[in-house]
Amino acid sequence: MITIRLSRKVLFAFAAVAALVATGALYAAWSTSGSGNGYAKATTASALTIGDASASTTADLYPGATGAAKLKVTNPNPFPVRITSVTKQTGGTITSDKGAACNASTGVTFTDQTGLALDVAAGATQTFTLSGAVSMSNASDNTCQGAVFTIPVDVTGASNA
Amino acid sequence: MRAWVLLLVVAVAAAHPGGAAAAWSVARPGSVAAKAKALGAGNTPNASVTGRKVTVSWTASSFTTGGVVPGYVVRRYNVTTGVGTGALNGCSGTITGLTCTENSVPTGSWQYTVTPAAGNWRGTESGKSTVVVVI
Repeated sequence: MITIRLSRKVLFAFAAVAALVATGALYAAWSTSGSGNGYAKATTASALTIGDASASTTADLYPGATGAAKLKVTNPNPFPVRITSVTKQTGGTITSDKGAACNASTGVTFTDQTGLALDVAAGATQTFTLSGAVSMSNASDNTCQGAVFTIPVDVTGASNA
Repeated sequence: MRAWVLLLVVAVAAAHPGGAAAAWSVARPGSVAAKAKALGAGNTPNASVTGRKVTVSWTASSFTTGGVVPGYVVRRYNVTTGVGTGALNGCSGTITGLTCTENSVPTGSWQYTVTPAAGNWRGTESGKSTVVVVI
């Protein structure tokens, strides 16, 4: 049997570090939330900005079809960020640029996107295509033809340094 | 004994990297955008009569940004009154092909049109076909 002898000071220090890592406290310095705590020592992270991607959309939706959604992300931080999921906001309403009749029955649904690996370089703005993320049912109103839809989402990301 | 407790804490922390990952990520509210196509215009159909059957055929229409439309709605117009109605008996509803035959057409002079369709969407109605006479 092999016996490893460590001083109690070393063991206490090791345990304390392990506990901080387990709770994520040491990672707070790299979080894009910008809300650190007493353990943060690095540069304070800034929040990602989710911009208007409507200008980059390609018309591909019609009743019975699926299409792509566009996501525009700006990373103001001095480190790269990886987007890992894009999910529709709970209770969020999908709207269009075609007015009330279309908004009342867009027929559009968004499929939550998880397991993503969308990388945004430090200080960069990038637009991503989420293929197959949007579908349109036959309930879509006639006035929705040519519409641009805005879909409220939560974007989850993390430091990718 | 205390040393063994500390080693256990270390082992548990090392075995649960998910705890660190969960605190590492953050969700930001925003929006994504998507865009719909728009239906184009129907192409003027041909119509031919055999007895009380009228066969209507047309060429495919496209969305304004490209791609073939999925269906068509056929209408029949009374030449004398100009009143139109949805075609029946073989040409009713949304037709996914490029031809249909309407059976038991009432006596009279008729013209047909086709309109691109997808669900509740409708494109621009075509011009009217040549006149067919059902005796």
